[in-house]
Amino acid sequence: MNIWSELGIECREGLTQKDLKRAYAKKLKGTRPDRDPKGFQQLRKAYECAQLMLRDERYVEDDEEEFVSDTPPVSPPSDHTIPQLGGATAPVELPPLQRMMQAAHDHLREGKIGTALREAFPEIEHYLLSHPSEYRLWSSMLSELYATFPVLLDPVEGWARYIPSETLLVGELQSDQHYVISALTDYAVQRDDFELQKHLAQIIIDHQELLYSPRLVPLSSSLCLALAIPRVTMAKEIGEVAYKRASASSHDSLIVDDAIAFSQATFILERQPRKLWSDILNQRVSAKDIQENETLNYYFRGFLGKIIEDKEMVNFVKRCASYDVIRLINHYRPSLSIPEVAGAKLFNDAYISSATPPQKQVEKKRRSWFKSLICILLILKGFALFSNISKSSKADLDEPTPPTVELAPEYREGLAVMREHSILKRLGERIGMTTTLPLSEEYQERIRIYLEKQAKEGRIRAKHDLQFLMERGVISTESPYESRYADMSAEELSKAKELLSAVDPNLVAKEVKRAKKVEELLEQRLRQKAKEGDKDAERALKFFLINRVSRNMHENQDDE
Amino acid sequence: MENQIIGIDLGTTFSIVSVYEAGRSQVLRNELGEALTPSIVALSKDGTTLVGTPAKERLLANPKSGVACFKRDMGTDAMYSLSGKSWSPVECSAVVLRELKRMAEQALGTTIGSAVISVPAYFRDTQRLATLKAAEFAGLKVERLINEPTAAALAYGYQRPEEETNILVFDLGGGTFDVTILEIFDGVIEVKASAGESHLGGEDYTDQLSEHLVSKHEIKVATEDSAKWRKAVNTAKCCLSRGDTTTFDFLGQSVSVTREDLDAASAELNTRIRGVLKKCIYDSGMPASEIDQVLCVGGASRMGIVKEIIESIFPGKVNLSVDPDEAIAIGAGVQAALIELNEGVEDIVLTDVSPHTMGVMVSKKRGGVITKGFFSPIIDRNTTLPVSKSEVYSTFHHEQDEIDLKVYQGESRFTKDNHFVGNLKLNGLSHDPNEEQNGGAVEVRFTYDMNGLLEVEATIISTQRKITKVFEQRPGMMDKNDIKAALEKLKPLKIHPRDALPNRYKLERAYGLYEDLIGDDRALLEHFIDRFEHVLGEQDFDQIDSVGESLERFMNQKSPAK
Repeated sequence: MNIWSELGIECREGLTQKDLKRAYAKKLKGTRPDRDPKGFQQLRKAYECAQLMLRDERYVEDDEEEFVSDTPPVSPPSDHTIPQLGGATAPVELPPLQRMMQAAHDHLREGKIGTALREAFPEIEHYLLSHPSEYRLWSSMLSELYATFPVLLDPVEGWARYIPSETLLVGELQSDQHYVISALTDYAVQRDDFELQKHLAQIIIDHQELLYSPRLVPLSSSLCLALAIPRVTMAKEIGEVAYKRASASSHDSLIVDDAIAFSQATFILERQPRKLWSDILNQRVSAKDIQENETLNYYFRGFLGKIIEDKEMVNFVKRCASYDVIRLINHYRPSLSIPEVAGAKLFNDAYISSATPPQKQVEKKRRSWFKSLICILLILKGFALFSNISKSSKADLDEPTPPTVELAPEYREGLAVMREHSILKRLGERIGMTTTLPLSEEYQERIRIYLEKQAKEGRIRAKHDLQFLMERGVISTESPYESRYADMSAEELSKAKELLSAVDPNLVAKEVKRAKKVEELLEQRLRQKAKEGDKDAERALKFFLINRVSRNMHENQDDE
Repeated sequence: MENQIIGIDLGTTFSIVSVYEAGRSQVLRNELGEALTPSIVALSKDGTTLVGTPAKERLLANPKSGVACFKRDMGTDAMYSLSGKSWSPVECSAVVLRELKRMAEQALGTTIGSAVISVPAYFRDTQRLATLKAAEFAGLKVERLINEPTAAALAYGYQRPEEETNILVFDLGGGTFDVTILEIFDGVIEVKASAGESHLGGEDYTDQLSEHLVSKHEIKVATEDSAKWRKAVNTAKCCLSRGDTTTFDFLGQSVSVTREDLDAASAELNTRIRGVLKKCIYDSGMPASEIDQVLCVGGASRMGIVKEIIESIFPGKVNLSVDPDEAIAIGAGVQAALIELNEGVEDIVLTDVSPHTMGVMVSKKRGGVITKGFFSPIIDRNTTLPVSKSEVYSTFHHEQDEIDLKVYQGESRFTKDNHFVGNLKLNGLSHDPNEEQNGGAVEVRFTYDMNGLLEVEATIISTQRKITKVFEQRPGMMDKNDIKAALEKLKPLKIHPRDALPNRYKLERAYGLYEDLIGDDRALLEHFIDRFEHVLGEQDFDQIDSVGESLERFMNQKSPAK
């Protein structure tokens, strides 16, 4: 029984909170909390769920309206940037694919999911069949749609069930893109959609040649897919490919994703893994190498995490549990994940009791399956992170890959506004502020400092975001505070900056105390300057006070 | 009518009884035509118990002979000495309840056995239990404890069920302060959030003003005159709602009181009132602007100074259509009709929330050091009742045999700042560390019923041994059978999802199918069963449905018979 049938209504487009309330009220008369407590609890749960779902949808729409009204109206692009066709007021004609995508976008935005599924998407597919050169563009645009309109309303009815035809997916892979496949993979794994997982894995299996493509195909993800199903033969096939591909290249050139995929593949294939690992563990590769070489490090960790699932490996561990290895494990111990800790424990035990007879390890098969599933899901989550990083870092290294077809300015503007909004929303949550455009100077400063700090820590995304926001003029390129407080010592300035970015609620108490002291000092100084009539100092003082209030609120919330 | 249920507002300063008849809930009057019975108990010279107006008179004459405001001590160990005899707040309340029962019987010409009693929404578990005990002593079966502001809203809403409106009930009584936000639509009266303080009311304003005046005018009040003095100050306080200055005569001395005096005396109380209002609005998730009307109940909400606060936050929204004194009693009467399933109110359903967060004390291991005294919430405040939720806790070490489960009520992260409700000891937890199942794991289930009473059940997962406890302040006060009966009544709430029939059925079917299938299909089915068993164990209700459905879908595909 789903929530809608529990409430006795149909999930349809345009359902309002009012409809929901009416349905709930009607059902409630027959499910009074005092007469039927259990039934009531179920009904209540369904009601609260449905309310949330509707609110989410409304939220999406409200948001769009909000930022449309907040940004200065997108003036018709100034005349000299747009080549004019015919009359000056003629609407700019979009290229066909963009036009169709825009139509799909509009349908979804208006909640016309059915129309989008029945009309817009088939039209796009039809068009693409005769225009294979536009697969790449399609891939990036569709993934934007997936990101903009997550599963709407009922998961079963939602548009994200839209799965492009196999031809399109293969076409995407052939054009060295994998946005859509990745998005679908994420979706399938999150939703536990078995059919979809199988479908995707099958596509990858059927087109193994694609896996050799120099561009990164989500090899590791598909491997996980096959495992999660669990389709052992399929996993083996993919593993085979992964293995071949990995052994062909040298260790150093393997990227992180492949390294993990490879270490998994060796286990699935039950083939030569021991040789490979004993290479590493029997001092042909030293512990120091592992520590210094990132790829080897991942091999090692992957191995550690996997060992718990393989009965035979336990014997192997006993043979190669040397002092060196134990030391190595201890080196990593603080950062080990749960399955890795389990592996580490095996090593430890083996090392300590290398003389005593092996303990009987009776593991129920079922249990181990379940455990491995959980592990895989965990690892998959890790992948998502890794692949994000590696994707963006790749984009950084390679020359930027411009889409083969220029996007129409309106569409580009639309995407940019969307991105702008999503960045601000994310940052807003993180920094704890409201992000209505235009941003006040203070908030601009806070965002800049936050992003700069993140970028310094190696978050490539933060760097891009900062650049993007500056280009869009959401935050000014120059910090107004730098020049204003030229008379502050460098140390003070950096402390002030630190203070402004001190938004992490998990700051240790000591840090907070220190920050508070600096804050007090600064405040004193500013007050004095303000008294002397310095207007800038007065403003800065205000900013500090606001900043402090908002942080205090954070702390109070934490206390609760 | 047979077995009629009465509604009772057991207030700090006075109490009222009501009954639902002929489509209306109405207040009952005593032989003297009075509806308000002062909540005062006193002993006369010859030792007979006086209650209501006679007790109030007696108290004026001899302050030591009686007691008032005992509602504020409900649920504590306080004892009053009345002419040398020792009385508890529960016993005093019982006397008042007995009087109300007598009044109702007299007015209706029938015997009354059961009642709906109103309590401040912010009453804690122990205070509610004390109220139940008082009723038991008075020979009344409590059909329901209703929260006072909810009752007030019911009094407003029961005659206009079709109206769609958001209401804030501002209930400042003699000794307690409650704010509740409700939504009314299609006959549903749904409480969104409640907040309050159990020691903030009109009496506090009188106390503060009295202290202020004593220090300002340097008046010495002898103990035997204290009741008279309080009465005079109270009258002055009321007068200030109508004018800016007033004077009263106390033992020949003329005392003048100005509005400034009241402002100065009550500054701190006003801040507390604003704080509670803010908290409630925040909890309701509704901006203040969406509140359509404010119902003021409780005698103290008549004070000018309080009205100004409300008016400043909700300008022009105060609804004067309910009587601040009688609304709660009328609402209790409506609730009684709801329980009787009276046809006049069959279109109305009321849902209320838990006013406090309930949880247990846990210790945390941080950096190898075990720190005690953290609060681990199980039921969040303002969750719609009834509700039943569970969490799993574990021992620190396999040799640890006993857990002392301390139940707390409150919002602080540290239990020392929360209110201790009671404890529950569990032993037999030491286990073999090599066992697959963690023998130290305990499932703690909290069940919060519609009266706002808590039942705790702890189950040692490995042995399925259960320990159940309904919390009460002093063990032994209630009959064992009564507790058992209460447990029986709560039972329908706490079926483990694993034992719910549809889930049980799904599992059995899956086990059967497992034997029929082979190869990949079998492995797949195994995978589905594992997940289903897992979510059942977690009692993750959202997941149970979706995972159960996917299991069923799969079975339907593969099942040869179907």
